[in-house]
Amino acid sequence: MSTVDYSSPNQRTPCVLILDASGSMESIGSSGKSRIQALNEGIKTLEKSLREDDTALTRVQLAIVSVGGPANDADIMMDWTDAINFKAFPLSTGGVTPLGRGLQLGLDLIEQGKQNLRNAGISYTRPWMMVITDGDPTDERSDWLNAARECKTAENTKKVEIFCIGVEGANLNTLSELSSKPPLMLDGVKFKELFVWLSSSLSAASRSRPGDTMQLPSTDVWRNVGM
Amino acid sequence: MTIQYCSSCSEELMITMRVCPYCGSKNFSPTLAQKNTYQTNNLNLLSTGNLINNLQRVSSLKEGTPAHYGKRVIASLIDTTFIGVLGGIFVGVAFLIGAPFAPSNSLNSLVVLMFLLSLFIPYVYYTVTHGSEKKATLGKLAMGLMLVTTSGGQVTKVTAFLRVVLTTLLPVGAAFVIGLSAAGMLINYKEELHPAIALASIIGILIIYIGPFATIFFNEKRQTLFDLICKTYVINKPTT
Repeated sequence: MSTVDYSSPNQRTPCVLILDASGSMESIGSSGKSRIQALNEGIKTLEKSLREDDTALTRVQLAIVSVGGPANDADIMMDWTDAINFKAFPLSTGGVTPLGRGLQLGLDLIEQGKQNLRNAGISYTRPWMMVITDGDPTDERSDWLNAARECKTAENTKKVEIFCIGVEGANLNTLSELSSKPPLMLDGVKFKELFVWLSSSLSAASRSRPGDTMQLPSTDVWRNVGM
Repeated sequence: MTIQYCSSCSEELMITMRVCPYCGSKNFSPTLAQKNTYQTNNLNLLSTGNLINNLQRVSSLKEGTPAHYGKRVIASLIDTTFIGVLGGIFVGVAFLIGAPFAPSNSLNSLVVLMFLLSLFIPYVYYTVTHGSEKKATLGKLAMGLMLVTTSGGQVTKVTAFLRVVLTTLLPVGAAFVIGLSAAGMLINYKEELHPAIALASIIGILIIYIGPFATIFFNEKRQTLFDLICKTYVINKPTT
């Protein structure tokens, strides 16, 4: 069953969030909050921000892949959901970081989502995939390299726009293997600011037409500029 | 918005949820009533096979979490025994080969050399095993544990080596310093070994030996001092 309204002809902007919920996300930051608490507050902020934007609310589609977490695996946690039907939920931590598998699931989700939209005759802008992690992938090295290669190929062939966000502890060298854009480091646990940025950026993307170039808001409010 | 309920924890979820974010279950019910029926059935069937399945599930939820102290101690005993046996074989073989050529009442130089070389076995053993793809020594493998970085990644051989060096040399070095201090006091005061000095030295040595390991009780990842320095920790091996 789906909460994507295929009867609505609105153009869609799909976005998959690949969220690290491994045990290391329990680490407490300087603000006194754990990373997972801050991430969960960020997801709530995303819902709130999307609800304040009528265009984004009807055009943005979200899906979430969790990496680690209570199921201790990479899993499609939330299938495609129109922003208007999205209800934030808290992630729980656990396990390790099979990020490569998470990326593969994200790419499969995107292809499936595009196919569904095509079948319904609905246009869409280039899908986004935002990867947020604080650790090194724990997949076998060969599996990670395959996943990273597929991501890079998908990005180079304009099938997806990938954003990699490292949280303190992330290995930016490893993350740089999956996108031609350099990964950005989050300043502390500024997840709220990050998700406000994501909402604004998705809103801008949802107003564009397929193939348009667009200017994204500045990342300075959440990015660790020291990196 | 269409909703569903988690069959395990009853939480209300969006219909597009594939995994319950609260408990990790992948079983859902369209209504709360059906969910309750499902739970009742589960309770009724809990008697035999399901109990084992549930225990396995609880066990699987611990995968990737910091390892229990007891498991680590047993793993360490297995490794120490293995290293001891290996060292014994090392020296024993050297003795068997070298003994016929040794002058009477003296140690054969081959035996001495092999003994000295055997002192390096722990360093090679822990570096190679922790730095391998398995991320585990034989003891850890047997207990279903592995050593990873605090971010969950592969420990490099350099880190693995640093960790074993710290584990073995730091307490030895510190104990040596305490011993020197005690000796210095004895010489300065030209006294017999005062019980207080002996006791202080013994307590100091115990603190130095136990202290680095006692930190596992005071942090979430159950890291020893050496783990904290090397940014590593021991986890229950995930099956995925």
